[in-house]
Amino acid sequence: MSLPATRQISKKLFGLIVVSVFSVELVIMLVLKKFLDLTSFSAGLVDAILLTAAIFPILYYFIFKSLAHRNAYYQALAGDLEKFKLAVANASDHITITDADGTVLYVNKGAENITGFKAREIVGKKVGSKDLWGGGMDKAFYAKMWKRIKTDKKVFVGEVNNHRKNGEPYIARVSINPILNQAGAVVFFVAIERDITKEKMIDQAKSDFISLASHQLRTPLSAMKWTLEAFAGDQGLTAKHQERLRDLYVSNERLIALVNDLLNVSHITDKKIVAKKQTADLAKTIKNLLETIKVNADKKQQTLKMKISLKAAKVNMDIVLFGETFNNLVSNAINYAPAGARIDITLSVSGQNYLIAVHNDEPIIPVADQAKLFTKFYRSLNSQTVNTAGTGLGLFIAKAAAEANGGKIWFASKAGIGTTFYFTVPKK
Amino acid sequence: MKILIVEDEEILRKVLQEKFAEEHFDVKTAVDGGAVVPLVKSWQPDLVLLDIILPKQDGLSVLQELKADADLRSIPVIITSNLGEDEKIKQALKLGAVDYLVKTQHPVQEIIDKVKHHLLQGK
Repeated sequence: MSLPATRQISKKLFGLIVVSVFSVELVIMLVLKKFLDLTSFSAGLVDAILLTAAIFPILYYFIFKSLAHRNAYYQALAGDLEKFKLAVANASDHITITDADGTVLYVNKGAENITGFKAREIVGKKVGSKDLWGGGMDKAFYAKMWKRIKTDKKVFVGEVNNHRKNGEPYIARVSINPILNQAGAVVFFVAIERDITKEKMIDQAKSDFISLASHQLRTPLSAMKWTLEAFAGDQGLTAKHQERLRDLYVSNERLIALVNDLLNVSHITDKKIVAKKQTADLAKTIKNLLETIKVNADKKQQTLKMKISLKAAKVNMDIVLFGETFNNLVSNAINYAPAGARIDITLSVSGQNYLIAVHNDEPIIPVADQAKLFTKFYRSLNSQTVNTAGTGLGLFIAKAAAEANGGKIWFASKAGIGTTFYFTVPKK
Repeated sequence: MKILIVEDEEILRKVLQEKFAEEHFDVKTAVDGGAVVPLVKSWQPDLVLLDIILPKQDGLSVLQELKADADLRSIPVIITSNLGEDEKIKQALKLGAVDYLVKTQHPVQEIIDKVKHHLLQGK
């Protein structure tokens, strides 16, 4: 029964009580009239009426005030629920409510627009069935999904391949929320799906374009690379010819490195870095990387000093991504430190992580540049003076690679102490 | 040793042909994917260096055909491409390529060394 109706009945009951009390008073007075004179009877009757008239409004106020407040509360609540109902009904996302077994109880307009099925065709059927928009994933996917929402009673988020009523395939990002009663049992599922087909197509088109562009750029670069190598091996070249060939070769290698960096950056920007983790020994990985990079340090008579205080440092990481971070940091130290400098590389434990540090006594990174150091294409002024060939992408890539491997990266640079870059890898 | 070089880019093909010949390999070349399977059947090279982006038929589908043929599947195939994405590399190795070399990342001599290494492994 609605509250207004309840209130009406309460009012009638109150009225009845008032009339009844007055009636009883009248009967009592009429009985007493036999024993009282007219003046005393009239006075007594008036007193009774006045007393009742004073008490009842007070009673009325206190009883109905609380009822009025509750009425206002429930009316406000009904107003809010109406808003939610309108919001759900008219949301552009596909919203489905099912019972605990997946039978559809409700779908909104968004579901009709996205799938092409009308609500009357959907309600009462099992959600995700091939009769409707589902069935586009393998059995293992659906088994995993049901286990998560029904057995584990947790939210499931994922991407699914569906099809509309007209057979057209589409991709949806779905979030399925189990709704539990007070006993902790699942009573409903609320599924919200968003059609992401266009976004996926755009992503794929971008990816294809970048792949093609990088291939088209790399083709003439590899032709130049190999031709220059062949040329350098030819007989009869003077020392001057060899020098010019080396200069051409180095310039070509820089272009190749730039194309690689731009490709890496586009992958990072598109959030395509997926760490392919495997068990690795950090100390051994670092030693291997240093063997290759040492050649560059030797050219500047620099010393790479490795300090490892651990016997073993087993981790689960993407070795290629680790190399991206490590090589960028050590290469920077080699490029910017003066000839003859010592570069310290340390491996230690820091809480739940392994900490790698790359230190050079100079140069110091200017304070004005420090906040932007990891941003794309940023190169500090002194770096441009020391090494005009840099792209400004190395630290951006190093940071993305370190974070993709589950770690963090930061640095400290102060006059008198030097510059140290740190990054972590989580322990296995 | 017989090596088939499948490369549509003239300059790259020329350098590879020259350098392998210098290393005393017997070299044949192909400029499109459609020519590969018939040539491999008739000439029976000891190894195929195979590009991916090719006219008429792409390298990965050529690789698939070679590995599907009982008489040809044992011939080692090294992919040489400038497509460096992990997915492409995985796909090629899954299809049966013995190695995947991104051209801009390897000097010619390294390509030659890799070929020798795989031929030795095959023996």
